[in-house]
Amino acid sequence: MPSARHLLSRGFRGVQRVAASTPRRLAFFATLALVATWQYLASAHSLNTFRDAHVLSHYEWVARTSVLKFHELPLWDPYYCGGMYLLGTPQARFVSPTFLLTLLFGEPVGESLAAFALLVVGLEGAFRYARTRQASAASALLAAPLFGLSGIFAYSAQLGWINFFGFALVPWIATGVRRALQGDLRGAVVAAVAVAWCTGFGGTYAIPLAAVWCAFEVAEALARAARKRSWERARRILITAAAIGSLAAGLAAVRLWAVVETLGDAPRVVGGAPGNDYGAIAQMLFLNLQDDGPPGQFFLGGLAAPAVLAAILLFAMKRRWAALSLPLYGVIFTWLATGYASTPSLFAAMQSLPVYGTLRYPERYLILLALVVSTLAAQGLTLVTAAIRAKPKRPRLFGWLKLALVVTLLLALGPLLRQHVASADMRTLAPLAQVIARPFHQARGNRLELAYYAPMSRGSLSCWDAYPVPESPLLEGDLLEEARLADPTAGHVKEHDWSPNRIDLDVELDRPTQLRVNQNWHRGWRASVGEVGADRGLLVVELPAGRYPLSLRFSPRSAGGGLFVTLTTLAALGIAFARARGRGTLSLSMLSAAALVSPIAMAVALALFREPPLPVRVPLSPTGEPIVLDELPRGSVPINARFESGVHLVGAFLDTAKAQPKGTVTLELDWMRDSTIEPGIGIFVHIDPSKGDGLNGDHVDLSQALLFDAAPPGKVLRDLVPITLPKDAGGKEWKVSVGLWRVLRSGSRVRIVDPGKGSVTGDEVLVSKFDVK
Amino acid sequence: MVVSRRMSLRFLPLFVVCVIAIGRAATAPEPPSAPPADAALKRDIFAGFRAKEAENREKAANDFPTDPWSSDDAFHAYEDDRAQELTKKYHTSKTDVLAALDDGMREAHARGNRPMIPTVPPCHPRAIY
Repeated sequence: MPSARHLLSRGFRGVQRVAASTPRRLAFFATLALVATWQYLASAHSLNTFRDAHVLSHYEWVARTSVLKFHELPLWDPYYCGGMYLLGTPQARFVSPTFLLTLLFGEPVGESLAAFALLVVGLEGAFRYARTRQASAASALLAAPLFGLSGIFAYSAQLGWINFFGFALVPWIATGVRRALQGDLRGAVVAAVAVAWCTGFGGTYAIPLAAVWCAFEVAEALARAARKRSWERARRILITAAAIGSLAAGLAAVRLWAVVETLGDAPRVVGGAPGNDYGAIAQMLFLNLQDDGPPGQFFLGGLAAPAVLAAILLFAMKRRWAALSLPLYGVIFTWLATGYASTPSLFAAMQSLPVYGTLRYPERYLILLALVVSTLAAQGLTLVTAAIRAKPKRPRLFGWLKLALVVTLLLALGPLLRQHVASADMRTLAPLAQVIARPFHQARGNRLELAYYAPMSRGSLSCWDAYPVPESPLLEGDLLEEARLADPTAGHVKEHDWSPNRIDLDVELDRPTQLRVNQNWHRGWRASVGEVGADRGLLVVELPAGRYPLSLRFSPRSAGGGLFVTLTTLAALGIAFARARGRGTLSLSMLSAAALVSPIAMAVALALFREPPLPVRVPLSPTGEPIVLDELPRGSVPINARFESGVHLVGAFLDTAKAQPKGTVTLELDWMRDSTIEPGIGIFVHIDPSKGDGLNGDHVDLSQALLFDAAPPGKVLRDLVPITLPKDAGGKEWKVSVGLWRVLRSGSRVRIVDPGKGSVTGDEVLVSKFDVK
Repeated sequence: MVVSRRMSLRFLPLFVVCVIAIGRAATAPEPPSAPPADAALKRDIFAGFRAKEAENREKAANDFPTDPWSSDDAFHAYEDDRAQELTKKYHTSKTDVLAALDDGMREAHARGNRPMIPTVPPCHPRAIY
């Protein structure tokens, strides 16, 4: 009868055989992914009713409909927010190979299959990354689920955050960069392709966080080169890193250009000082996923701990200090995850960098910690196995240790898979939306029920995304005609064909007039006749008199130019590989030459793909009033209070004409900024009654349209704040006090250095008092 | 050729697992759909929305008295609750309930009447949740 040790030995050899063979390994990972997504796949014909799921599935639905129904590229989404740049909206995921699944099987089925496929990709990626850090194949196989099945993937599926499965590509990016920096330049291509895929899949967090990992890899490689005083090696590392960056940007350009343009036009402002103490982080990592709240969101479980500790102890005992870089990564990612709860806060320092200032949730750095843990666990088991082979003094101890590590890693699968099953059960599901084929119209809509609107040929003006989608206040949700003449007596216009990217009309005009289309303006709209423009963000065309067909089409430069750059970079890489095959290796000069093609292609695209000059933007309030003036508007009471940030409150005025219960009064604050100001300043407004609860009007942009950081210096900047009074507002005296606070940092108030004519207490200025009868 | 066949066989387990995943998703059952709403029922549903419009606007303004977008977004959350109530009350589909709201607003506008606000404040997510 075979002993337990013999059985273990045979079992581990079996694991080794599976791990060493790519087809077997992928089959094993696919089986794990199948178990993890089983419930999810089983409900593929249902609608996840969570609000974010509505929005994210909507983007994919529109992309599929554009391709299959209208036979055009998915560029413009007329079904949401009054029309938005679909290719440029950062969270859409259709520029990805997984879009083929959506095209073949439809959005809901495609979504669940994309989750399954990306779990396999993530598991294999974690395996490969561990291998680049000298983990044995069997150890890497057993430890890969610690990343590939970690809580973020379970949690994201529950909320419909399918774009978060883009994190599955992070280990591929890390693997590619590490291999390339070690001299295998094919890794550069792996990293660049993974970055492009992740960008196309809506990796709004995955790409910036992966960049942090890559920066650590480069720093680690440079430190190794410096230790050996190999400056030539350091030079090659820097060139390789630059080449990876250029290739990644080039391959991702079809999506990246559009996203950068969109966020440049409508920057995301994230405030507050988010933080997590170590207790909260422990809950996220070790407690089971719950219906609500942070526990389990980044679940790893505790069963990886023995293998991770074994790795750290054995590296320390062997004095392999360089190998302790990975635990150091883990410490830094945990520190970052604490956000503002740590002092000093590394997260706060990161927020001062471009892009990183728009990342709201520090705890998402724990996703990178999962890759650290997965890799360290693989290294721990590898080191213990190697120690047995080296015939230690106490072989039985190491034998038992290996058994314990293998068993704990296998047992870890249970809780990991359980999070996925539990997460799928936590969803609230509903029947899919029904399709109603009829002419398109904008509706008032509801972003919380968005998935129902596009299938019934309606757009939802009710809008939310993580950034302020440019949206005209003139859009209407109950029109009978979506394209109208500003002067209806000038003639008539009739729509005869419609698709997301194109509107064809027959025009007959006695005199010139303006065509008003019930969609948002974007710089990508073109007209076959007349001149395209914007009226407070509404798409309009100045038309001449006459009888003619008019074709409006959406064709932004960033789409055509981005595609050109992506294809050119791809072609350059193809040529480099063909030459490498002839020479037997991909040299740094060949890689660098291919990488140089991206910026050249970008320059060519800028020259080839012309766009009409952008209309001059006059900042207006949502009610259409100008908000940048040369002098204080009539009625404003001068105050001239000066804040230490370089901002002055020059005047204020409260229109109390409707100061009645449930009435809306408008507060006007007139600001002025110096040429240099402290960035990230917001405005607080306290509206306090003589008795009862007060109102809060804290905000960041002036009249919801202009940030202090973007405002011109030396001008009066009008900040119009509507205040709707509560129904019990009557019989009270109300005081309105305002001040400035640091939105992007500590949240502290900005000191008033000169009160001017203002009544100041506690760094806030009393600007008005009024009675409500 | 032999190598190719051998390779194909080695990938067979992966292929089988993928086929199971696709089969599982493609044959997933659809939740039972509700019967369609006729014109009279749609009118009742629209009346149901209309009856709550002012009250929901007031509650939303109370939630966010100084932020038009947030107030409108809160209104739509109340409207969503109302849509759920009406879906249950009339045993019809969510699509029909939302279509009834849209059709009702459009038909009212055609008659020169706008009982509900047809516009929304521009998208303006809060800097701090």
